[in-house]
Amino acid sequence: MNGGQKMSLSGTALKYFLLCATLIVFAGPLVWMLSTMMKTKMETYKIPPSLFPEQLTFEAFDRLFTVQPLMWKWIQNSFTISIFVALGAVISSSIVAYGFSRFATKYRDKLFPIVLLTLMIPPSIMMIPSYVLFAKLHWIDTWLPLIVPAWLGGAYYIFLFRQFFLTIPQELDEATYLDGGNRWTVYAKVIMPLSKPIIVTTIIFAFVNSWLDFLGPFLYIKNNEMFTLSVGLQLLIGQTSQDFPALAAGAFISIIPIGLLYFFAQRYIVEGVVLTGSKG
Amino acid sequence: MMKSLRKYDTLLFFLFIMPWIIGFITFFLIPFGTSVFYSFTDAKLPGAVEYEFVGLSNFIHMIDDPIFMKSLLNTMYFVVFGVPIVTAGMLVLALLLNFNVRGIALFRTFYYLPTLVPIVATVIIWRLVFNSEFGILNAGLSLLGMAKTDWIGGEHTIKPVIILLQVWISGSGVLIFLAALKNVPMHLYEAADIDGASRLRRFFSITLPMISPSILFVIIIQTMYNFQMFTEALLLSKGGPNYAAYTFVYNIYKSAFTDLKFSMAMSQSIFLFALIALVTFVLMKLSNRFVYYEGEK
Amino acid sequence: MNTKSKWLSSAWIMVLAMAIIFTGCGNNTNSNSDGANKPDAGSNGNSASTEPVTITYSQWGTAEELLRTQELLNTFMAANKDIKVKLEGKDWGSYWDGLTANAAGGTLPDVFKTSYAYIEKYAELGIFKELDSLLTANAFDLSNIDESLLGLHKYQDKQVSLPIDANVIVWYYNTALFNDSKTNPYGASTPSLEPTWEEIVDIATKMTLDKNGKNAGDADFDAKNIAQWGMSISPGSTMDWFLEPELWSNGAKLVNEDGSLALDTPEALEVLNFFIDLTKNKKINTTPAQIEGLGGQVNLSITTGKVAMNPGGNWNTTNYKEAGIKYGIAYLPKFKTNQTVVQPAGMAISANTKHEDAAVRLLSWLAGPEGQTELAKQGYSIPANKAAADAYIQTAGNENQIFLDAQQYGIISPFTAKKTDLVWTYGEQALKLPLSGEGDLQAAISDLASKIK
Repeated sequence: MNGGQKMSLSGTALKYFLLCATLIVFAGPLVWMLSTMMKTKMETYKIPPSLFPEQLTFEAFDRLFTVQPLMWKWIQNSFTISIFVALGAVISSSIVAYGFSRFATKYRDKLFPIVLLTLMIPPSIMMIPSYVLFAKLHWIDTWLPLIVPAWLGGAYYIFLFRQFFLTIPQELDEATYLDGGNRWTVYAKVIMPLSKPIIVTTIIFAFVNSWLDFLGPFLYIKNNEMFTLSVGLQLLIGQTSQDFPALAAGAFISIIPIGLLYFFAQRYIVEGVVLTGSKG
Repeated sequence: MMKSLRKYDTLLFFLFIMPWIIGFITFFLIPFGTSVFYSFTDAKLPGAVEYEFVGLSNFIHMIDDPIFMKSLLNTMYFVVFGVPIVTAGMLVLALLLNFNVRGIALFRTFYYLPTLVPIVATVIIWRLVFNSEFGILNAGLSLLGMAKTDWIGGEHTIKPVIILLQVWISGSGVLIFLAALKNVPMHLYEAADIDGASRLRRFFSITLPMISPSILFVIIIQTMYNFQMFTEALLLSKGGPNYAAYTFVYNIYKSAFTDLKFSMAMSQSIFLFALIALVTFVLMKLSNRFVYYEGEK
Repeated sequence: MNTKSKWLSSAWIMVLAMAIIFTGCGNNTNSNSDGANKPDAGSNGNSASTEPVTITYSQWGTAEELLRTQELLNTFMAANKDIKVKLEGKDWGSYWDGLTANAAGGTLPDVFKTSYAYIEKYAELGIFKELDSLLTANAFDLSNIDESLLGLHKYQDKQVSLPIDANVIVWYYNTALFNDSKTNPYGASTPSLEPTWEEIVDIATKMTLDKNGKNAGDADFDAKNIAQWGMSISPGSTMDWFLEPELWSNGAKLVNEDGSLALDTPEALEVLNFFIDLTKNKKINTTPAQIEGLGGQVNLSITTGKVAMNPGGNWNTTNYKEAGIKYGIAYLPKFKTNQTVVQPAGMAISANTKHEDAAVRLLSWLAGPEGQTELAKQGYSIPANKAAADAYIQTAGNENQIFLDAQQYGIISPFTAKKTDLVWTYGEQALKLPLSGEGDLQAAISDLASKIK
């Protein structure tokens, strides 16, 4: 009837079965985390372990915030940094990608492979030299090493934006030029309004990547109050390695904000990632 | 007039890509140049006052590091086994999540959730699950009559555990496949239906070729990722036991931060970079034969 | 008109990008000049009229430990109004990597904590300021600090760091576990003050219970389902503070004079095989997997209530009190003689500090009588300065007398860069599993020996 999607009842049942079976693998560990954080410390040392807490308790959160009162501060820090990174990634990468997709200059095809090449460099090569650079700029112990590079075009996002821009018909550009528009108006008034999915995708990817980044803040930030959540959690492990419920509670807190963000925006992401349809 | 406009356009082009150029020079060329420079010296630290040029000595003596070969083989293990397994895993998950059933959005969210967990928290969760004494995994397996296994602490199990962890956090790749699957034109399937093709055949002769650019993209990203993998091994088991999960980049990190042989670490990085470039190049070349681009025909 | 707007918009991008860079730079230069351009308050002795100098002090530690250090620093700042000290804390693991990164970037903290195990390694980088002349100039009294402790903080015969505490390793047991007939059904007695391994094995056998309540000595003991362990040791991952003194106790050594590995002597192998036997055959010790399962740190195992005894440092009493368990203390179990390790942490000044004077004053205070007495009064760390020993006992009480008494059994085994590599880089990877009975010990030893060549 519809594109040959022959839907039988047993077929649907099988699909649900497969989905649920896989769900155990993906959600299982998270459920175990939830269960652990609501147990008493002693119950986590029980053999065999109990799947669900015998008596629900939220004391783990009290202990978590006693051991590490900076948790909230770290969450705020992560938020601030990630928002600036996401904004920067969208603005700078879209502008650069516009250059790489709409200008018929010979330099374009020479430079674009270099953009992709930078994706290939191991961050480890950059780790220490970058540290020296940031130290010379007096950026150590500030958020600048985490934020500024995002405002100067990330190769991955430039690539995604460019791929998306290539799917927007050139005729629209030309119509704008006929109406007296220029390069910038095409970018700002034509291309960008049509690129909502990739904008949202980039915001989310950049936000998430910044939120999850470990090595950057680990190297560049020394002051505990400036830590991001990722690095803060690492400190927490060092500080209370035996307290499984408190650790699980810390992990839980680190997922909530970003989980919510994703839940509300996921529709755009799938629309935004367009990789097929044109040869790089 | 036309000509001057074009000239002007080139200038505009450079203005548009200016942010990238600045970023490229500052955060890429300068550090990279520094790395290359130091790899030919014997500097213990960057910015060290005393160092001498030692030519290719670092590259020649790279292999003297007792962990060098082991870490290289470990990394190759992840590239050779990890990349195909993780990519296949992503594809299977994308196919599952492409099912047209009620509530699929909820499934998608749950499958993607692990990808959003900060790596340190992921490690916390995995330690809880894989804990040989009090973890849920061994408890479950013992119900099936299996003996306790020390997953994270075992020399033979740690690498598979890390690969599994990558599948667990593979949401971004799954999304890319999902987007590609949604882009396969419906009329192709309709035509195949008229021909009476089986599901399997439809998958191999339509779906796979149509999403092959995405597969290539994911494979390349995965290859680079696995070549550079480090944080997972560091946090999960400190690269142990007996260096079973000590990756090449972990060893670079050790050379620089623990052995205080910065110049050696830079040589190792450049070696790795050359290796990645070579492998990627080969992948690209091979892909010309397998990857199908719409509009090509 | 058109062209202009094109130019404008493109310029806007540039301005935006540059603005970020420059505001960033600007901000930082400001904050940096706070300290850099102001004269060192201490040097002109005109402290009241100038703004305080800000210096950073960096150390490793748990949240608790950092809080206590903050208390010390507050006391210091109250007495020295012209100096402000900013505390930076990391956990032990990232502390040293961070120090390397700081050394590379020229961003070392002015004053920072050191461990005797890392002195030589980092001294080779030239990150320490030589202290001899500075201390003389400040009339610092070195005679109150034990000569051997000072020696561990010297590099090429120059003092580069001052010892501030003299931590010592002992043997702890969870008394609640011994007092409860549910967890001690076979009536094991608590360890004596100077236990032999024979005694400890006997106790641990009785205290290791399976889920049916049988102990490790019973014929039908279910080793696959152990519910409580007699002890928790991991000689392979605690080489410097547990394995080495135990080797000495049996007349063996960890490293030879020339820095090579000394584990293939009969005396050493006897010790290693004894430990393997505890885990592999007697089943009275936790395996590495079980230690990981219990949180990963042997010296905190007894806080889980699942382990009767473990080795630990005097600083661990904090953790035990935090976890709310009752504990008893004995010397480390012995093969032949009593041995332990004294681990003096120290304090150093960065070679490129801009505030030498303030840094020296902080160092002299923390390592001198006043700071050490304050440290002693907190009751957790054993001061290295003898001027503060009385204060420590007054606060900590007689139960902690053992930490002072145990010092006499400290082995004299200085750390070289090579030994640091052995203990912290290669040793754990190679020996952790073999010393619990998994894998070939001989192969691991020869492999390790070749790695530290």
